[in-house]
Amino acid sequence: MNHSIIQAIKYSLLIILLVFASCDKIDEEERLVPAGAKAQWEEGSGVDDKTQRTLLEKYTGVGCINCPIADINIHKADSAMGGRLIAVSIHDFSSTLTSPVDATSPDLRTEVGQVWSSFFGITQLPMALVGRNRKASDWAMYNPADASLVMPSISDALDQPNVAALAVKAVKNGDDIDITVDLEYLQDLTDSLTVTLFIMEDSIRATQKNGHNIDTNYIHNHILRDAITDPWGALVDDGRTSNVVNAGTKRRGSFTYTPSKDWRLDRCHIVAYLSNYASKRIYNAAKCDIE
Amino acid sequence: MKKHILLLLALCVAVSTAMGQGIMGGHVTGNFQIDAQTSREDSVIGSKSLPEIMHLNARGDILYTNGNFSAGLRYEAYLNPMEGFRPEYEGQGIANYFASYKTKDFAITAGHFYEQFGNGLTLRAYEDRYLGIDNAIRGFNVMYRPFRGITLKGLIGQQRYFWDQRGLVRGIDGEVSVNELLASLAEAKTRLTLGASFVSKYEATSGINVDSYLDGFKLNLPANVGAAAVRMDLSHGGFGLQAEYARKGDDPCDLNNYIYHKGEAIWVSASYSQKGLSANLQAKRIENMCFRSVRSEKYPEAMYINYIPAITKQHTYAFLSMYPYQTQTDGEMGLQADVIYKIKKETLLGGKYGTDLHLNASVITGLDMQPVALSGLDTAMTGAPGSSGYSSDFFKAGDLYYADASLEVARKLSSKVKLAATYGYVVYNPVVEGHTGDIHHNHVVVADLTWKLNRKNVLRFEGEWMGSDSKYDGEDKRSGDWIMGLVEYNFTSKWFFCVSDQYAYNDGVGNYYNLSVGYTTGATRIQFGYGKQREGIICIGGVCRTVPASNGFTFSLTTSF
Repeated sequence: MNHSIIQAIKYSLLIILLVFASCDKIDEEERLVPAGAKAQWEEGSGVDDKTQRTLLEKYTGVGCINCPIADINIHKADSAMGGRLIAVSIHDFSSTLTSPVDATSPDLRTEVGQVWSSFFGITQLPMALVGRNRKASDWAMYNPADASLVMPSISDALDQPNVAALAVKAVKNGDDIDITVDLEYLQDLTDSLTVTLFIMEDSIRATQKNGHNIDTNYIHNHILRDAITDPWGALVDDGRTSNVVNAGTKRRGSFTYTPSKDWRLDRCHIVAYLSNYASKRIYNAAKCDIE
Repeated sequence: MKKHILLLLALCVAVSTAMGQGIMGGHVTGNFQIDAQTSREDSVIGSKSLPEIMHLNARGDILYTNGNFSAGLRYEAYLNPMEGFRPEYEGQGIANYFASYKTKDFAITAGHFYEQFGNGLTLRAYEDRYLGIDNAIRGFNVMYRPFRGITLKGLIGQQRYFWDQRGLVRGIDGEVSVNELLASLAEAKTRLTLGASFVSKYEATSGINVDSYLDGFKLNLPANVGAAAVRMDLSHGGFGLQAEYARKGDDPCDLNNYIYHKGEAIWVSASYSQKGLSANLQAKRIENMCFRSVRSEKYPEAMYINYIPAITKQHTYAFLSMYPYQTQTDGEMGLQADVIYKIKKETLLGGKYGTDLHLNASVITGLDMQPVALSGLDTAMTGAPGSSGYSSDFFKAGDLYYADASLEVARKLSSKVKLAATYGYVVYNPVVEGHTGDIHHNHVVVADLTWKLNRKNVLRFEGEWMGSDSKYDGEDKRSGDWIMGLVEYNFTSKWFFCVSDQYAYNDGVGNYYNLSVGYTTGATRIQFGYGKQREGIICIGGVCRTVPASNGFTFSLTTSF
């Protein structure tokens, strides 16, 4: 056998090994995994504040030198929107840029961040999605370090029909947090909706690369800590008896969650957002402190 | 402005350079097809009026070829999609584009492509415009022949989903022609080709909610699922033997109710042919071989990565094809025998011109599935999402899905008249269409007479009868006993005129008359029709599309250059 034949066989075997490796094995005892906090749904009393808000997901990393600029741009937008924007900073596991810069810094990465990041195909940092909108067939993503892109994307997300008003309330109950979500449908809807809850924390000191500098006292705000429900939400039991849920329907969902003792709850917020189960598009969002 | 002028100049230079190198030579070919229909409400057959008056499907394929290089695109328009095609097709645009470079031993395609590994058990990306299927992969496809007799293929891409691209498919395939590889066997009468393929799909795991079944838990879904197959093609003189065996990893999906169950498929075909006789025997067994790019996909024709070959006859006569078999990718097993024999001319049975006999029979059943529970759960959870679903004995058959037998006798009665007579018997279980109800038993008789008046004028008469034990209960409008007549006149080699009527005379409803006229000149054909279409399904190769009832005009134009 000549050299080229041996080479061809070697490369072929390598390709076959690589492709065969592309196969996941899940043992029987691992087929079911916890799905997050459960909701108890009942008839609600409505929502006084009918404001439509949207969620800005900023995928970021402590080793990402342009991410602090994005923080500034988003903070400005947040101030300008008068509470209609809820921003969350997400650190996933897909890049070395999200690993703690030094050994004393806290690890801001989360599993739920990785789930979302993989699903939306985040390949570079910083990157943002607002309202999980689509642009043609792709997710509408943009670089929030470019200030000119931030406000238009928020306007696009809010330039959608307000299908339901949403409010969230969180009360500490021993080691748990009791969370109540109120919904009031503002339009007749045939879509299946989900409510997703997560907890985020402000004022976390962790080393951050910033341009050519390394800032050991960088203050990180609205850091995603955990999803309270399943990462893709809990289906809203809207009590519909036909394909349509009517405008004016009021529902209340109750959840219980046990937070980590490592977090400062006085600096934490609970965020709820309402989204389309199939398309993932976010219709409304709400945020509250933990009482 | 200055920028634009510079850009234009650069483009001119590039084009003139390209032409100078002969790159702009080559030739362009293409084809166009426009189909349109109108429909109005008809309470008897269940047709609805179209709010837009007319629906239209149209497409144009353009192919540019220059030596080893080719590039093409397809423009499609669904304004709005014709009845029976998915509403997601609505719109128009470039649906397919590619560039390809191909030599004898190497080929590479970027863009959309169609591909098949073996018989398709692991991968078949294909298009069938009449079924509304287009599983084209957009990505890269490479073929390489490192040595004579060895062909390697590799591909990666996303599948077309109406106007979107979804999923991620990776695959490799290798095929060895033993007779080409080994010079000593080059002229051997025995020919052997061996092949193997592996295909893997990736899909991020997003919330499959099984809360209603198991409080507080969800499924841990595999993001990467692989399927592998081995195959052979052996022939010796008039004998042939083809076989393919495939296995697939756990692949919970909507169609299999999110069970974790290995897929398995085996397909075997043995054939013999000599002058005046050919015989073919096929067998297959399919277990959980639904392999799709998107696990939650509900449309039966969308997002399939693989294809299960059909082993039932593709009938062409109306009543024999009224209940076509739809492949059950979740599980089925079956046999088909097909014999074609020509009785010699100038014999007692053969007559002056000889007689053609075509005998075909097939039977398809489900698998014998015994539900199993997820470990540690009570038996009420058997077959539920997260469990292994079921166990099944390899050789034990389940419920009968479909069986048919048909004999066609065709004989020239004179130099100008040919008669084909067919008898067929079809047993059909509505469960294959997802319905419940009794199994139908249908007897069909067809007489098809072709009278060649002269070189340019041909008359054809067709009469069909179907006797069925099915009765119309307000649901299936194919039920009952039917008769049909058809007259078709082809004149001047360019025009044709056809009139037909199908009538349910007992235990059924409907009188479906149709008129059509067409004209063909060169590569262009234009056809107008008016009539009623009965609701039902059409299947090609075991893959089916629902056809709703319609009552109105149809128009079709095809041309190529």
